[in-house]
Amino acid sequence: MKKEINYSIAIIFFLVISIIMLPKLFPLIDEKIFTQNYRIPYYAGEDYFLFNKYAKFLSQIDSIPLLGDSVIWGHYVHEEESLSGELNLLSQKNFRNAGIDGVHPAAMNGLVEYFAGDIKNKKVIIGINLLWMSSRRHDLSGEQNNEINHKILLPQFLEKIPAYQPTIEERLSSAIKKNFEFLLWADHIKISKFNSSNLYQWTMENPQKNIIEFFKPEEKKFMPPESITPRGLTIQDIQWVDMEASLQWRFILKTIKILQDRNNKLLAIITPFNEHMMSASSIKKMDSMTKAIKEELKREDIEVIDCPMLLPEEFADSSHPTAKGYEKIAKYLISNKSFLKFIER
Amino acid sequence: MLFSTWSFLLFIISTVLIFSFVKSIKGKIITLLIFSIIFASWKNPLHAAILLWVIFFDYFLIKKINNSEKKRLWLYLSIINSISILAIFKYSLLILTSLNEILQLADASLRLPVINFQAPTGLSFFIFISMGYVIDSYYGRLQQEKNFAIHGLFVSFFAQISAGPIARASNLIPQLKSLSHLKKENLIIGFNLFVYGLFKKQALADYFALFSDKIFSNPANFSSGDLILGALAFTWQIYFDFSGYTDMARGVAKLFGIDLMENFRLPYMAASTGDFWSRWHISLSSWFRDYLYIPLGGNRSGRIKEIRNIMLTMILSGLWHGAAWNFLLWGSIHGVLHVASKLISSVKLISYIPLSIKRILIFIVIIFTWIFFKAETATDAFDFIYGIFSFNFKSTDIPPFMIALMIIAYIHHWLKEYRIIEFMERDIIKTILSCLMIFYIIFFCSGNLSDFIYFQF
Repeated sequence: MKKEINYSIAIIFFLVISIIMLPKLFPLIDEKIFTQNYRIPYYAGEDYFLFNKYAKFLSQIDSIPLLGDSVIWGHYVHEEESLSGELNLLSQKNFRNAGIDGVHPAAMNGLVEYFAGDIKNKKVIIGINLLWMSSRRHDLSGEQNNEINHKILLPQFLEKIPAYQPTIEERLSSAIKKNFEFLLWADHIKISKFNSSNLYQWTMENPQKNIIEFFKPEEKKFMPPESITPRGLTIQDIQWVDMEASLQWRFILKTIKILQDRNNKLLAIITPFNEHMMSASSIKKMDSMTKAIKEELKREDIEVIDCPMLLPEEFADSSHPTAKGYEKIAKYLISNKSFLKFIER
Repeated sequence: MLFSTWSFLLFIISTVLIFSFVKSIKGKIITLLIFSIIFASWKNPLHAAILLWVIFFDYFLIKKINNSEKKRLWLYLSIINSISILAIFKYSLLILTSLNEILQLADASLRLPVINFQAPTGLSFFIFISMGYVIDSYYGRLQQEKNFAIHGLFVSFFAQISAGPIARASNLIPQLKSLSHLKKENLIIGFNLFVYGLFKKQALADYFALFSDKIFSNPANFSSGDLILGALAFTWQIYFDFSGYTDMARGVAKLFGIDLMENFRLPYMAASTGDFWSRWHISLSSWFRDYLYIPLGGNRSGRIKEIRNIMLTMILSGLWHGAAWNFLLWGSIHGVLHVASKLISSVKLISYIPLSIKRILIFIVIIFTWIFFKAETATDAFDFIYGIFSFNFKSTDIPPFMIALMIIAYIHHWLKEYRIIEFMERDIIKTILSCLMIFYIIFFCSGNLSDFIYFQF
């Protein structure tokens, strides 16, 4: 009995060691996939283990990562047509798309804090999308919202986000998950190596299929969605959230602070917002916000570049450019003195 | 607080740590009592207040029973208190809506206000734990536990409070009085039991639930084959759900060196309905046997009274699960089956049926009884059974993986019953399996939290 118990303790010890070591020994990520125009695949948007390894990879090569949301990621375009892809075409520098689809500033703050720790002593371009301050709902300072993206990346206990009101269990689960590499690794395997994140649901939905197929993931190629302009958008009065009151702006500043503390050199790009769908007063308010952002970041010693005005057809929706739009922005940037100075510095 | 949550993991780690730092038995008892109260109040502090009321009230009455001549008066008072709490929280809705229906039929304009109280988790469990102790004291089977903390912990111990097992004072109180330091063998056994339970719940019960919920939600849309498998899926779901919870509860208790009673002994290997009840939810069926069936006279007062006693016990056992007609019907059906089984057991022909055939037949009967348990109403249950016998066997979308798991579960029952896989009871094998189960749960289970079926009772 006693011997069996001692062996059992040894087995549990082995289990603990496995849990610690498996993600390190077998990350199951081939770095060859990180080509110049690579971006975290759409389906792997919540694969933070993959993002972490990608960030580590970026830290080891001579590159300029572009951090940001779906505008940086390129929601309506193929990877080579995204901003980093277009910049790579126009320059000899190695721009890398480190955006994630759907990652709002509060989540970006968590992403940078927990999963981009390896990005140190580098030049980093950070995208600022005014969309996240275009309403209290986007700003997360409004009523409870159950459809927030990347909840796990939000602060769970130390900071209050009015729109985010999960149960204690959900908070705890998120807090544990983002600090526990094995669970992130398990998620990475589920996302990248299985046909679905849930075997049981998959068997229910595919009763005729052989279970072996579950372990042979189908190719999940991203097909950019069709633009919704000019049909879908009408002139709107945007309910901008004041910068002083904006929760998302606070998170942008926090993210910048984290990146600066890691000795990174930052350049901020205010990504375009579709002025063609805005009332005159909304445009006026947006301009004043842009000005305030520039001033505030200037105080932090960060150069800010405001993207050029795009034509209506260069917008795919309220804030995402089309391929043409990205091309225009890239051309503008590559001829911008501040930008050139930053990349050549 | 569900056992399968991170909150509980942190809760249990904190409890174990503090328990290990406290040296005296008194301190250990107080520690477990405090954590039990925290556990009970997790969802709603009012729930802990109800629990505390039951603890205080019955502690006081047991004292009275032991020290006064009017023992019966104090016993009745305690039972009235317990039944009243159950009636308010669990049965008031059924009673009031039924009364309103009667008033409506009688064309009366009066309507009684219907209030749906949210019952504390495991209300029926801790009420029965406490009631059993009072009855034992009345019959002089036990000396009163003078230490209030031990009494309080016996009723409220967090491992058993949500869904049992329904502990007996004679078993649990002596263990609480001799709580010792953490022992590695207890930690290993407790860990294994907990992981086995977690696996039963997350890897098996929750999977079968996907299918049974789909079928039971709209049985009219499914063929006979689907309905049979839906009933079978629920048969396994409820077993793995409840026995999984019990394993987890026993595992948690074992960490502190406490052995809670076994609640399941391969119930689907029963060879008669009586045998089924000696294997299924043993703590409840033995409670009803000891505190209701035997005091009513059991089988000692002739066949008619025995039948009455069986029926009454089984009907109340059904109602214990909840205030719904389907539970009443489910209990009644078990009563009728039990009586019928008693009556035909004297027929010689029955003894010629091989034991294995009896086990299979009883398993089939049990599957049908679960239909009444799961269905929303009695009509739904009968419609479901009618659907099964419509013999419509058109092709169905049944995952072979689920069928394979059902077959494995049934084979496992047989192998275990005939002690063919006794080697799997070794601690080292269990630990290896526990580790594999953890990996399985992490990689293949959904991670979505679902309540245990028996939490509602």
